[in-house]
Amino acid sequence: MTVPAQPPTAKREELPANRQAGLPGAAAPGSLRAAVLGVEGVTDVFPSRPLWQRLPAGALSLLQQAARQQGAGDQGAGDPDDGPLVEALADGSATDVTVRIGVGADARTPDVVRAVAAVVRTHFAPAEVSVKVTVARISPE
Amino acid sequence: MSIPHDTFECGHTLEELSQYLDTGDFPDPRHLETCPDCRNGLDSLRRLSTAGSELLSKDLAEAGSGNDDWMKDILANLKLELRPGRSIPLRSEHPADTLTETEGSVLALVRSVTDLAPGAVAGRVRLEGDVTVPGEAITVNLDLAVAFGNPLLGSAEALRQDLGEALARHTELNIAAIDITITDVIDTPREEP
Repeated sequence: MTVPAQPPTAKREELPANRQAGLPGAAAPGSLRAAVLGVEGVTDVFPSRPLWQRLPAGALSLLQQAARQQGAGDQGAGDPDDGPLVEALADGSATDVTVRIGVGADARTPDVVRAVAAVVRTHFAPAEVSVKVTVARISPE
Repeated sequence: MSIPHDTFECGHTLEELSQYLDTGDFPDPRHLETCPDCRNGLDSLRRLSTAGSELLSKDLAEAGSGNDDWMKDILANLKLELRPGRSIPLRSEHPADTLTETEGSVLALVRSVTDLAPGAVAGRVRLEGDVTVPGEAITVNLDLAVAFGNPLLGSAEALRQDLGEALARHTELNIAAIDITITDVIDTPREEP
C-alpha cells in the first residue's frame, strides 16, 4: 500500500477480491484474501462492509427490485455483493485495512482474529497499517 | 439508511430464506454465499425445520410456515436477531488494531448450541449488559421451547454448561449468568394404544 505523503483529501482504495490492484510488494488483494483464508479457523472472507453500508440511500431497494424483476441468475442489474473483500483507507497518516471473516466452531475465535490481524500486518509490511477485523459468523458445529 | 422492521440490513427477509429452503428460489442466489446474516438465518431455519419435524411429526413446509404459536415466536425473534447488532470487542496485540465480533454472530452461536440439545429449540436470545465495554458483566437470557417429557432441570443445567464453554471459546465476554427460561412445552404426538 502506497500512502501519499500529503494527500489533499482522504483516499479510499477498495481492493476487489479477484483483481490485482496497484499495491507494492506482496500487498495484492487476491493473495491477501488467500493469506487470511489460510489462517487456521477462518472459514470465510466476507465483503469488508455490509451491503447497506456500501450503497447510497435508496440504491439498495432499487437494486433488489431490479433483482426480483429480472429473476435469479441474471447479473444485468449489477451484483451488489461484488464488494471488496479487503478495504484500505489512506488519510495521509495511516492506512486502515478492514477484513470481515467467518470462523469455524472448533476454533477459538479471539485467537483466530488476532492471527488474522497479524497476517494482514505482515502482508502490508513495511507499511504501517491499522487493521480492523470483524467476525460476522461463527459456523455451527 | 432506514431498514424496514422485517428486512435484514442486507435487504433480504426471513420469508425469502424460508422460501429458498422450500423451493430453492431466491432473487439473488450469489448473495447467500457472501452474507453472514443470511447464512446464519439459513442455519437457524434448517435446524428449526428439523426440530419442527421431529417434535411434531409434521412436514418441513408446515413447520417452516409458523403455524404453531411457539414456532411463530421463534421466527419473530429470528427476525430481530439476524442483524449484526453491537460490536463486541476482542483484545488486540497491536494498539492500532480494532478487533471485534458482531452481536449477531454470538446470538447465532448461542442458538446453534441450544438447538443441539435434544428436544429443545431456542426462542428469544438476548445479551443483557453493555457488550461493547470489555469486562462488563453480561447476562445471557435464553427462552427455550422443549418437548413434553424431557427432564427440564437436567436439560437446562447441561445446556448452561455447553453455552458457557462455547461462549468462553468464542468470545471474551465476562458472562455473569446464563438465565434459561422455558417458555413453551411442546406436546409431542403420542402413539395411540
